[in-house]
Amino acid sequence: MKKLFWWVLLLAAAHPGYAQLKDSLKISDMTMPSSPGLILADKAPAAIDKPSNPKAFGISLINLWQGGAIDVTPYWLTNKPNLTFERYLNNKFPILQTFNVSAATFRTDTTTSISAGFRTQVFRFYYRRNREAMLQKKKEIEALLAVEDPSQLDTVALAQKNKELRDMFDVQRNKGLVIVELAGALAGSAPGNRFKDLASNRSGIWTNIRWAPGKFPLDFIALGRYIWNSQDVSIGSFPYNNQLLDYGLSANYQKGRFDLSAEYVNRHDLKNGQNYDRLAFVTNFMISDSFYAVAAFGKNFDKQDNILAILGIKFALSKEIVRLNNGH
Amino acid sequence: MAIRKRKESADLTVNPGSDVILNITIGNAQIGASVVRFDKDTDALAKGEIRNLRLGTAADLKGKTLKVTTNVLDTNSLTNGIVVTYAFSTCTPSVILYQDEVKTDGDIMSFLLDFNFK
Repeated sequence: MKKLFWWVLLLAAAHPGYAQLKDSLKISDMTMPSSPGLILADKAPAAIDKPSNPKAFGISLINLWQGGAIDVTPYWLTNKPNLTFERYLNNKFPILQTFNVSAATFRTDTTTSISAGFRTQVFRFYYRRNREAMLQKKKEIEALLAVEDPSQLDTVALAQKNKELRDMFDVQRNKGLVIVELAGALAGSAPGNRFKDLASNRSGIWTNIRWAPGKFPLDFIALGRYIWNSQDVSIGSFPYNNQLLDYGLSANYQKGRFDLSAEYVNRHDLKNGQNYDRLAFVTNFMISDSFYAVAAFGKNFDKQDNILAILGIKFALSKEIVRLNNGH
Repeated sequence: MAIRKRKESADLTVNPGSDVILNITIGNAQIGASVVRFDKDTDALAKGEIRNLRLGTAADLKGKTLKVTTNVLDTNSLTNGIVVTYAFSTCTPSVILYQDEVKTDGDIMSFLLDFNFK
């Protein structure tokens, strides 16, 4: 993983687009696995992933030994002169704006796997009340910005309004919205960790639909996912040549620093006519801006050795550390 | 929160015959506001979002300088890029675009511009 981290830093230094982005890296850009490649390999704590705002450039870590992912949203690497705030807000099909590509790596004692994936929001709808609140916030910011002498700007008030506006755009936590996210990934592995043996062996495409009613404590995510293995090479929980159809539902509750979810996924092996299921409870607790405790308990898909028990800390590397390592 | 300032000036040739209209577009889904005034005036002609602002006829404008301050707050977490388009109808050039970027997410970019009508 250390190597991957250094590669990311090298990439950031070498590529002008990334060089700009490295300065905007922040703690929330480095979160637990949710990249499509990691979900495909059953390496994410939750099987039903919440649709999320794309990151301009992000890093996800499993841990320093097992692997992680990097992702980028190409649309934002160039300026968009005609994309006003209103157009962005009212775009119900932000496919290009949210099209995020990622690469992930994860390893076991005998296998190294790599994957490439994408995710995009094919439909995004904010309830009218939310849209009006966002436009009102925009007006408040404009009023604060309409001064001729920049030194007279009220930066404290602007920072506060900016935070409030960004919270409104948080599709993971905000209420009163419907998001349909499409994702896909292709994974390959190299038995014995030999590069010449690297071959594609698992692919998948899926959709997550999040409905967060405006005045209801729970929100819901429906999952539909099709996975097919092209080779008899072990990757994740299902080592055999098969075609899997997953469908499931999760219910989520968020309050303060807690984020609780219960998820049920049914996995149908189309080739062998077998059915598997997974029932999990996942809890996230924000200890601080840079540390989250995560716990996942339940039953995984496998027929045997299927107890799911994850307890750990999500940690993030600060922007300052990234820049220090990159510069020296 | 830092404020990055950039001063620029541009010459505009006014084509006679019709009014000059100004539109300012803040791109990259960012939020900005402008203050527009003529250099010899103490009061602003317009403030905030500038849409279809009538500046005057060609004869009125020749020899004048329009001072425009545009402050843009980086509200878009996906990019630090700032891009502002100034469109002057019946002028040459009719569109002037300024692109820049703030160093840190959430900063402010200020464009302090002089448009000289010729």
